[in-house]
Order: sequence, then structure tokens, then C-alpha cells
Amino acid sequence: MLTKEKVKKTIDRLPDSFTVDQVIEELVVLDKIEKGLKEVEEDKVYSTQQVKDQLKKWL
Amino acid sequence: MAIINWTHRSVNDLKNIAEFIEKDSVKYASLTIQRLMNAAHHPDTSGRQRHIAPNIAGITTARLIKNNIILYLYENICVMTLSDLKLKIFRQIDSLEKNRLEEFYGVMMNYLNSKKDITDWDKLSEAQKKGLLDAIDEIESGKGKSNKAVLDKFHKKYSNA
Repeated sequence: MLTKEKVKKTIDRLPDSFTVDQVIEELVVLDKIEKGLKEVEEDKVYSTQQVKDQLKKWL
Repeated sequence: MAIINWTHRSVNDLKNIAEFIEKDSVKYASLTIQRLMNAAHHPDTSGRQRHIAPNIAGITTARLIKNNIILYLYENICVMTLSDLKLKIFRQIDSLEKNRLEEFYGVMMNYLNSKKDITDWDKLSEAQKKGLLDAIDEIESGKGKSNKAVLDKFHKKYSNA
């Protein structure tokens, strides 16, 4: 879950002038990181070997 | 090499990437997945393509751009086990060059010795203590000489002896 505080910090890191695309990209990144961290907290992670097994079709 | 944990989301993303590219070429789908997985395991070799993203929630993150796809790597020292930490320290030491290794050894010995009870200090005379403290001051103010410089000086001075 995003918080106002994190979104504010993300926007603060942008240069003084920016495009809408830049803001959206930064927010998407923030959202992905937050969701990824939540999965790590919930131990929803695979080892590299498990990933290789799942992706063996392409490896 | 760091131990990498892959979130379920990241693996789904990889699958989606592979399936998308596979529509055009199985070979390039395979190459892309291999490159992405290698990039995650060897982020330092990507040099200028690696950007350190802002520290979020106390966790160091690195944004790695590879083949126009962005990977996000997270390193959380807090979740490392003791053996992971030892291995990481060993690998970092192992990668140091000679000069930095010697410098690190000095720093480490100073740290370890600072944790010991130095009872012998009290047995020294005031003159000995002053001599040691003066020597430390000289070293810290850059007045120290290397062992090689001292040896060269005396070899030259007593070369005929």
C-alpha cells in the first residue's frame, strides 16, 4: 500500500521540471517496490534454482 | 555473489516477458531470460547502466537497466543470516587490491585490539607512555615513513660497512 509520505518523497526526488510520464514512471516503480517488499515480508519468494526450474522452457 | 530471492511477482514478470517475445522468436525469448537472470546475479558488471535508486524503507535498492527492461534489486542486510554475512565479508575482502587489503587489515586490527583489555598499558612508565602517544601523534599527522624508505636510507648510509 502506498502512503502519502512515500509519494511525496518520490515527487521530491524529481527535477524541478518534469513530464507526466516521469511522474507516472516513478509512481509505478514505487508501487512495484512496495509490492515486492510485501512479498518478501510474507516470504513469497523463490530461490534462483526454483526460478530456473519454472523458467526451464527458456533456459 | 549475493544470495538472490525472487519475488513471485518478479517471476511472473519474467514469464510474461518471455511469452511476449516468444511470439516472435523462441530464441530471443530464451536469450532475454538468460541475460536478465545473469544481470541480477552480476549487477556490478553492468557498470554505467546501474543506478542506485533512493533508499526506501531502510532497504538499499538498485535499479538495473538491461535491454530496456528494468530490474529492481533489493539488498536487506537485516535479513542476512550470520553465515551469509561472513560469506559476504569474506568475498568483499577477497576482492580487495593489495594496498586496500593492507589498509583494511590495519583498520580491523585496530578495531579488534580496541576491544581487548590492555592492562599492560598501566605497567609502562610515564616516559614510555609519552613516547608511544607522541609516536601515534606523528603517524596521525603524516610524519610517518614507510619501512622501505627507512631501509633504503640505512642501506645507502651503511652500504660500505
